[in-house]
Amino acid sequence: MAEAQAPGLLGGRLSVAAAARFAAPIGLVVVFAVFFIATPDFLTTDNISDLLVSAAILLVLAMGQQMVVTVAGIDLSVGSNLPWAAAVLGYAYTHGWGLAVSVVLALLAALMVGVVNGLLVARLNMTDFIVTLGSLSVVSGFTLLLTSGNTVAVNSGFLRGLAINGIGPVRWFWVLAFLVAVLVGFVLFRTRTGTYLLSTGGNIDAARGAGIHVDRIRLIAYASSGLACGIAAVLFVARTGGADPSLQTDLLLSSIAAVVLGGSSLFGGKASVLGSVAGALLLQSLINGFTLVNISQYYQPVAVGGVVLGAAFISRFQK
Amino acid sequence: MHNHTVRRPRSAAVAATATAVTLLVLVAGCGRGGDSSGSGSKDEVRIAIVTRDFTNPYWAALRDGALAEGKKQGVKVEVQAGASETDSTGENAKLSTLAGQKYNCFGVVPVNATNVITPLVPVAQKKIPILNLDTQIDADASKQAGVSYASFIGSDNLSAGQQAGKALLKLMGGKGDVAILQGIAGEQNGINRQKGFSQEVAGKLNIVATQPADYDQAKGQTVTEGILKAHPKITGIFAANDTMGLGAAQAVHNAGLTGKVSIISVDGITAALEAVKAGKLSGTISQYPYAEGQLAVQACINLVKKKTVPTRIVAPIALIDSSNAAKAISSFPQPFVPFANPLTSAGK
Repeated sequence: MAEAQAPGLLGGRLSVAAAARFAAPIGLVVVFAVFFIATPDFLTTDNISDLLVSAAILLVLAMGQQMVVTVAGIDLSVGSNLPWAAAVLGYAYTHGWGLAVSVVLALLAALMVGVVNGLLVARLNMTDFIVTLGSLSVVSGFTLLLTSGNTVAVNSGFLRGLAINGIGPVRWFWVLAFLVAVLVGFVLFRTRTGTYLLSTGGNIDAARGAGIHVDRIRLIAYASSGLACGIAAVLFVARTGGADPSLQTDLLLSSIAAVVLGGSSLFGGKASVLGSVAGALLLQSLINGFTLVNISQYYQPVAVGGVVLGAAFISRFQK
Repeated sequence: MHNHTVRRPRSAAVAATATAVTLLVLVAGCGRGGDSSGSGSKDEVRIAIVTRDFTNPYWAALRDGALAEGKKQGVKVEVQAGASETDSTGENAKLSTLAGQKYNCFGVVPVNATNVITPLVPVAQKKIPILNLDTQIDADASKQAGVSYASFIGSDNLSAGQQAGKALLKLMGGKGDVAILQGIAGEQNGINRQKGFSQEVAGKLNIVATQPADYDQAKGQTVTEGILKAHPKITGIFAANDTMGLGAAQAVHNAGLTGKVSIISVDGITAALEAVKAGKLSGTISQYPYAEGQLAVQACINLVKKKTVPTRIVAPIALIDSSNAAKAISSFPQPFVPFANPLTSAGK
């Protein structure tokens, strides 16, 4: 059934340029179709439910990355900002400050990293790549200092429930990730700030000339990415039952890949929240499907990288 | 103008995504999942094993042992892993993917003490037996989450550290300065190995440097180069695993000190056995992840058939030095000395 409809959709109405724009949603359908044919275990309620939960952390990170990419920036610090916020949560929780306070502190800690990145990039005009590469390392060090390098167990029934339960079949992780995506979509496409973000990314000099406070707009973008790391960190702690201080380089790379797969330009000015969501789901579906059909672990990075390169190739045709 | 360019692709994207979602729902509605529910009788053993990563030969050997035993016994064994030694969410996602499938026994090596507990909750609720492999999972957190383990299968790392201490004492003539390369901070096996080593050499050897090298060969080499500069008088190095030991051996070799500085590490991976044979590494305390994998599959078969298994199964360890390296290589990945297997002796 999927086989019969998917090619019809591709062949009939969409031109190459349009296909390029919808690379991620189309890719997602193709990947689903392929795994559906390959194994009966893929398209089951249980597995799709699990896939969406697994994708939630990446999805939230990708939403933050989306904000930064929109202003033609990049945030490499998410790889250490997430474990940092998780470590703050773990530290506060194990010191008996209660879960609510710990979560708020974690969000603030992550937001702070985002704000510092934003100030360095926007006010001091330092190169985004270098600033966030630097903070990737500095924040990772702070995390190790705070935890002495140890994993901090966060034994909270509430957080565990957040990871396992939901309202009926709708899991809490989806709800949170969905809300974050809707919020980012709303800010980008329905508010003046969003218009400013897109204009700043499109042409910073023109935006400045038009009277937009480009410094403030870029600061907002980096702060949002920081906050997204904080939210992702809460999900991370809920899912892994603790705060692991190790760098999360896989999540960092995937967050950028998801945004690029989604059709946003790394040169800024063009954003697609739905694309980024599809990109994140696509990356997670690949891992999930490969696990089910038992493709050797060693091939998985090759396949994931291949998909990203394929998306880059298709996006050449984008106007 | 600006509004225009922003909005058009977006509404088109909404349409495309909506189409995609509708398709998925339609396809899901066709109910492919129903086909498989009939297959798989109650007695059929289906084992899922999840470990940290396969870039470390140690876990690759565990996988090979489990797969070989599965083939021998004619049962389905699936082994999956995360992307790196510290990929706590990746491993977690793999485990929760497998937990949704029809496996009736799980074996898990955690990345840290807690990262696998949450995805194991639904497994435990379905009363599917779980084996804790190699590295201990936090007992209190597991209990609160309602997860319990049928058995722990792993090596005694404290004893491995002690044996390494004994071997290094002998090589260094019972005195001198020694350096320790630690694994990833907070990783329990590494802590136990170091503890065993330190207990054994206390009051005899002088530990002048203790540095983490994260179970990484390149880091092991860099850190050792630094240690050799800061403490040129050391005559011994204890590395908490083989990959770091190999890095240390390279640093010692580059400094022209091979033979003057003795190096003992733990794990018994092939590269380390070869290095011992070539005289670059003084010795390795070989654990047998291959045997661990075999034991896990045997224990799972017993559990599915409702036979009891011991709550703690200790996998064998042995010192490999220049005298027995060739023998160890030829019998690899099997232990070259027989060990008492509590499963085969009690099982059938």
